[in-house]
Parts: sequence; structure tokens; C-alpha cells
Amino acid sequence: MELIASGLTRRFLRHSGESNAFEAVRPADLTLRSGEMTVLTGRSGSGKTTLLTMLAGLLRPSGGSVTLDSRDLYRLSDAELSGLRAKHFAVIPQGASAISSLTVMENILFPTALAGKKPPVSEAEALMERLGILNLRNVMPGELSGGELRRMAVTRALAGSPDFVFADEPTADLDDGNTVLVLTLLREAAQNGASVFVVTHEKDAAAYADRLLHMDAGNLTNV
Amino acid sequence: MTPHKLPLRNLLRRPGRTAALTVLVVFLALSLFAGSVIVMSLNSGLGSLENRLGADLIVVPATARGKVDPEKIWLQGTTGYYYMSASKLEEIRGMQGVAQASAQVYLASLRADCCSMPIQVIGFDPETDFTIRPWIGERLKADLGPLEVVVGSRVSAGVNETIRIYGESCLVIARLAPTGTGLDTAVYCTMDTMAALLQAARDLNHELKIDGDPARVVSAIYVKAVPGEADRLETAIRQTRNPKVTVIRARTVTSDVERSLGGVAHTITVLIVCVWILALILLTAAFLLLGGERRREFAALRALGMSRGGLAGIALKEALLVSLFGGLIGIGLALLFLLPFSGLIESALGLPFLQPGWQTMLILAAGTLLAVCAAGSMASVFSARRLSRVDISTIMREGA
Amino acid sequence: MKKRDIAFGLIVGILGLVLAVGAQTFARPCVHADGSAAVCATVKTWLTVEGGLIAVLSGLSMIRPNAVTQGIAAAGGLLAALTPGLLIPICKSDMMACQRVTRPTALVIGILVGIVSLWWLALTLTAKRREARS
Repeated sequence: MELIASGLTRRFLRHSGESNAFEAVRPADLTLRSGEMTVLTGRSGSGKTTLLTMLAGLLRPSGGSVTLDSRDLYRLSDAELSGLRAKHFAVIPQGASAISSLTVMENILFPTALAGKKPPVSEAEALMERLGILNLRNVMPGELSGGELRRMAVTRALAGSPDFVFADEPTADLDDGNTVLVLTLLREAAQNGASVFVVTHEKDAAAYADRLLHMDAGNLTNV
Repeated sequence: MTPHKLPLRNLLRRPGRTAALTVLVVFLALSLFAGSVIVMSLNSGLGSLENRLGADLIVVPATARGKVDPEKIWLQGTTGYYYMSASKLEEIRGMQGVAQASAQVYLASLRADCCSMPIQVIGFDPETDFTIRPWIGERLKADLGPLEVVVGSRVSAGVNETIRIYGESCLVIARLAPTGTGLDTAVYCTMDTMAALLQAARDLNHELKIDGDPARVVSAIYVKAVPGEADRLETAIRQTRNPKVTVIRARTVTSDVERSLGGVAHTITVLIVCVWILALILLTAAFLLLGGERRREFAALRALGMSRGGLAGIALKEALLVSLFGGLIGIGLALLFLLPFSGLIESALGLPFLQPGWQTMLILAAGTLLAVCAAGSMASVFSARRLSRVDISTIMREGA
Repeated sequence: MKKRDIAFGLIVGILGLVLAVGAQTFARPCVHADGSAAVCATVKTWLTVEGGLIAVLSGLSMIRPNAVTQGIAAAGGLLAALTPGLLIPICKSDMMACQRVTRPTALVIGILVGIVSLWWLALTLTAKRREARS
């Protein structure tokens, strides 16, 4: 499977009025392939998250296209795009993304239920074991620390063996040991056939990447 | 855990929020259901009163109003008695324009024991009666014998029990269907039984103010006029002497009741409308405010692959569940108050009050539930629309 | 004290007090014109005692949630609902105050106390079970 972005741009208006428009992402071309881990680095505000959000089908670009198996994501209806995202994509957002009324385990299994897939309970338990959160399976998210929530989000993204994993600062809030563990798990997911796209400030992440990209003021470059 | 269970889980996980929304819906359901039942009960009571009075003109002695207003006997079950000579019945029967005329005799019992109120005893002539018999006939096929009585639905005596009136034991042989009027608190017997009771009352030195034979008195004469003759007949009867009489148009009684009922129904309707407007505004505002707090969570659902329709569906399903739950509690509370307190409501309103049967109640409950669910869903539409268009950046950026 | 227990305790307690005070005031059974008590006067004493008991039990359970006291409060509610008419005879006439006001008041408050207390009891037992499991 290939996800191809061509001429992808995104303009924002900071305030009202055309004069304050700025380009968060300037025309970018990128292909994400199965079995490959791509790491994107760059300074804060350089447009990394915006690019990731557009690639993940969550933010309509101002120009260009994102195609998956020759289907332009942003030409699909909302229901079709949502179905496609649920089936093929997994997102680890930068912010807290737990559903507060579900337990940790239910949160982890929720995306697969949404996609109508069989709940990958044993895969989830194995990942939770490795990330040290198996004892929290029946706990509500409101009782978790920031690091535990992050590890829950990583488990949720990887448990359903998605085709594409979009991780935005997946190691934020984590100690060194857990940072290594999360990057290793993402690497393993790529080795198992997924295409993993990681946005990070973590310098060590480069060691895990098949491909390293850099962004500066909206411009995407290969490193 | 499947996504369609999420709305219920969301509600159960936030009991405070759910309770606040439910309370508003309870007010909607309670006001609509209770108001409708009360208005319907008043209308049924009026219909039943029209049927039971069943005559064009009711003639009572002119002195009657000084004692007790005859209308109060029919409407509120107040006890009272007054008499005139039975010859008046013959006189009226002989008048032109009379289609049917039948007399009734009233007697108020003494308090039979420590825990009962005086009851109104009404004697009627089964041969000529055209107002009570059709009603009694619904429950009693055989004729009433000596010292046999039929009791109204609110008289506390069962079939085959005896009630003592002025020392005479009367056998209850049937109970009547409720009418929602004062007639439900009366006891009905034949003229022969009534004569015996009047004699017994006299023997006990009860002051009845009857001159002569108790078997030769009547209290009220029910007259059905030949069509088109009611007005002329009323004037003619008014002019009779020995004794002087008061003529009550049954239509006047019912139209008075209708007027009061209209006022009560209007007040109830205005109250329902006010409660609904206020509760709907509060409900819409509550959904919007509480929805605002949940933007992050809905953004997370969106990031996990839920469509805008799915998000709106969750918000609407939550509203529907709250409406259903609140609606059921509201209807339950209304029933819990209306059924046991119907007697108190009736006496407080002073109007005929006949509660609808369970089938009608069921239809009303279903209608209320539908209305409340529709209102709850409508109130959540804005919030659902807002949440379904949530900006995904709320969770894609830390601290956003 | 949990917020939930305070809410349930207050609801049950207020209902109990309304019953106890009501039996002495707005919902008191019939009194004769000569001031003597009717047959149903015993009901007044019983409803006052039951209402007071419910209020005390709810207060105790609010401070220290206890399934036994909540269970007794629920039973007290049902007992109060059945007291006028079924357990203790009241005036037969439908027109008397004890039939029109006392009995419906006891019935409504008793049922409400029963439902709310049973709900409270169920929540307390669920919380205990969850605690035991963890």
C-alpha cells in the first residue's frame, strides 16, 4: 500500500483578512510505503503536525492531493473517508485523546470496534505487557498519569495492526526507557508491514528511521 | 465494547450531568402528562354529568336553595334534603309539552359510624325514571327490592354488605360505575325503600320538615320536554303555586361547569406551555454548554476514525436516552401523584373529575414519551451539529 | 462523605421528614368535630415514627454508607406506604381526610423512599463489590 501526497499545501489565516494568511505547509511531495518508518523532525511551528494531520485524512489541504491506492482521500465523502481511516489508519495525537467513559482496555480496543474488526485482545495484552500498563486494563483514563496515557495511545494505535501509523510526538511525557521502548515498537510495526510516519523532536528517533525528513517554515526536505 | 454502547456509557460515567439533564426532561414529561390527564378527566367528568342529569328541566321546591344548592348535590356530593308534595309531579305531568317526568326523593343520612361522612340517599321511581335507571342498568339487571340499595362508586360499602341508615339495614346489591361527579357518593333506592327510611328518620326524631305521609313527598322532578317546548314549559312550571318551585335548566348546570372547566383547562394549558418553553430553552442551553466541555473527546473519536454522522449520532442518542429515561420518570411521578390524589384534586377543583381508563392513560403516556423524545432530540440538535464539526486540532496539538 | 451519598441521603431524609411532619399537619388523619380522634388516629403516630426513622437512617447512611441501614430505610418506606388502610385500618368513607390525603401521602412518599433507598443500596453494594475485586 502506498500513500502519495503531491503538491500538498496548507494556508491558514492567523486573524481575519487576506494579508495575515501564511503557508504552514508549502507544496510538499511525499510517498509513504508499507514496511517503512519515516521520521520527520523540525522546529516548533514548522508545519510538521499540519502535514501529519493532512496525510492522516484529518485536515483538508488548501492545495494538492493525498491518494491511497489511487483514491484521493479528500474527494471521498466524510463517511467514506472516516471508514477508510478507521480501517487503514491509526493516529497517536500529541494531545490527550482518551475516551473518558471507557476503561483503558476498552479505549485500546475501540478503534477496531469502530472499523468492525475482531477485537485484538491478545495483541493488545502483549503490547500493554511490554509497555507496563497491563495492570491498568480496567482503570479509567481519568486516573492515569500523562506517561500512562501516552503509552495507552501507543498501544491503541498498534494493537489493530494498521496499514499506516501516524505518530505525533509519541515519546512526549515518557522517560528514557519508555522512549526507547515506544520507538522500538514503532520500528517493529514497520518491520511487520505497516508504514509508520513519526513526527518528533527526539534526536534518537533518527536511528530507528528508514527515511529521515526535515521541515523548516513549511518546506519539506529529505535529510 | 461496541461504539453503539458509547452513548449509554457516557451518560452513566457522568451521573451529575445526566441527572441535571434528566431533571429538566422530567419537568417536561410531568407537566405534559399530568396536565393532559387532568384536562381529560375534567372533560370526561362534564360528559358524564351531562349524561347523568339527562333531563331538560329539574324542578325543586323554591325553599331548596335556602337549604342546600341542588347543584352542589350533583357536582360535589354535598348532602341535602327538601320536600314538596307528590301532587306536584301529577300537576307537571299534566302540563302541555311534557314528554316524560319522574320524581326523586332526597335524604341525608346521619354519620353512620365514627369514620364516615353523611351520605346522600336518592329514591327514584323505577317505573317512570329515565335518568338513573339507564345508569344503574349497566350494573344491575334485576329490579331493586325493599331495603335494597345501589351505591355510587365512592361509597365505602361492597356488594352484599349492609349499610345502616337511620337504624334500617339496607343491602347493597350493586356498585355503580364512577361518574366523577357528586352522584358517586350517593346511595340509590326505590321510592318504597325511601318511604321506609323517611319514616325511620322521623321515628328517630330527625327533623325532616315533612307534613303528612312521607310516602307522598318528592324532592326533585326531572322533566324531559317535547322537542322545542322546553322554554315555554319552563315558564309555565315557574308560574305554578302550592308550593312555589325553582326550575333548573340542566343545560345551565352543565354550561356553568363547562365555563369553569374552560378556565381551569386554559390555566393548565398556559402552565404547560410556560414549563415547556422554559425547559426547552434550559435543555438546549445545557446541551450546548455541556457539549462545549466535550470537544476534546469528540475530536479524539474523530481521530480514531468516527465520521461526522457518527459523532452527531452519539450526541443525539445521548439526548434520546436522557429523554426516554426522564420521560418515563416524569410519567411515573405523574401517575404516582394523580392516581392516589384524584379525590383531593376533585375536591380542590370542585368540578366533575373522571379519570380516563388505563388504555387512554397508556396512549397519553406513549404520546408524552414521543413528544419528550422529540423535544430532547431537537434541543440537542445544535449541540450535536457543533460537536460533529469539532476542530480536530484540539487534540492534535498539546494544550490546544 | 461522597457527593452521591449526600444526594441520596438528603432526598431520603427530606422525604422521611415530610412524612413525619405531614402526618401531624397537612396530611393528618380525620378528627371529629368534637375534637376526639377517629379510628385512624393511630396511623398518625405510626407514620410519624416511620418518617422519623427513615430520616435518622438516611442521616446515618449519609455519614457512613451502609447497606443494612439503607435496606431498613427502603423497608420503612414500603411499610409507610402500606400503613394506612392495609396495616392499620382507616376511615372507610372515600370522603374522609385520611382517605383523601393521609393515605395517598403515605403511599407516594413511601414508594419514593422505597425506590430511592433501593437504588442507593444497589449503588453501595456495587461499589463494595468493585472494591473487593480490586
